[in-house]
Amino acid sequence: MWPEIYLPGADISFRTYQLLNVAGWVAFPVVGLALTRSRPDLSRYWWWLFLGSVVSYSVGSSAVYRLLNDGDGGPVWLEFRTQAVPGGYYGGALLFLAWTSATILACRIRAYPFLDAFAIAFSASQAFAKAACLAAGCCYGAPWDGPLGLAYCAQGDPTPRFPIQAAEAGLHLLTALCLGLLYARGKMKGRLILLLGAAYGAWRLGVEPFRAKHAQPLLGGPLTTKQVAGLLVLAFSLTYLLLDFMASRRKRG
Amino acid sequence: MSWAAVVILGVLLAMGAAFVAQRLDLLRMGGPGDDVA
Repeated sequence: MWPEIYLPGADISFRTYQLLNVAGWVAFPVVGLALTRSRPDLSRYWWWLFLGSVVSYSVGSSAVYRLLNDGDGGPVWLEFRTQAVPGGYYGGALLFLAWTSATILACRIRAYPFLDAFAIAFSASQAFAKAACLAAGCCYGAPWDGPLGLAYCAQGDPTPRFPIQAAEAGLHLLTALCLGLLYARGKMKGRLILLLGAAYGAWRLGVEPFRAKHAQPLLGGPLTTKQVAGLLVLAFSLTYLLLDFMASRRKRG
Repeated sequence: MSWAAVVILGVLLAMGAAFVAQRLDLLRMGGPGDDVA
């Protein structure tokens, strides 16, 4: 009934995937440097933080993947495909968090201006990464009869699917633009990382029913592990923002 | 433990962690810098 989009052959799609993923990795330092260019105290540490984040994310995700798969196979370290590793995402995120905290403390840089820039750079980078998923046909959506259903025929699956990767890329881009606007206007200074956490956590909860790949229910319940992770990030971010708001009101009053 | 208990415990822990982080002013950790608006 609706026009369907048939993506090109797997080889072309995979090259597009790699190019877009590299664009995502490049966007991260470029956006970060652009945002911190007037802050030499931050930009001189940006490369160190960026390279550290790539290494710690890759090593963390590979380690967790190997742990979950009894050390069998797993991705090549420093591969640009760590996001596609089931379970590895959490290991990568944790090691990245540890690295960033250690760097911030060791280099004695103020945490929040870096984290503000990081939130915007991360969202911009993720927009490319999700566009890459769209091209490759990974992280695909649930079967869908509505408009813009995507069929990955070249991969032997004629089922039209919800273009969830495009929706997620759009949400990441929108988040980057909104946070960028706040950053430019000097609003919510030091709180952009929490706004990102609240926004990302909330829509992670909402988009999950439209996703089909890696949907792993937590202990057989109705929520997937990604939804629970989104819920925890949302609870943390909202609580922090609320307490901060109350503290600043008390200070003013 | 059922999934509901795990989720509720997780949310409470996340809120507790946010409380501690806000009290410690973690976003302002590190060196000297400008004030948060």
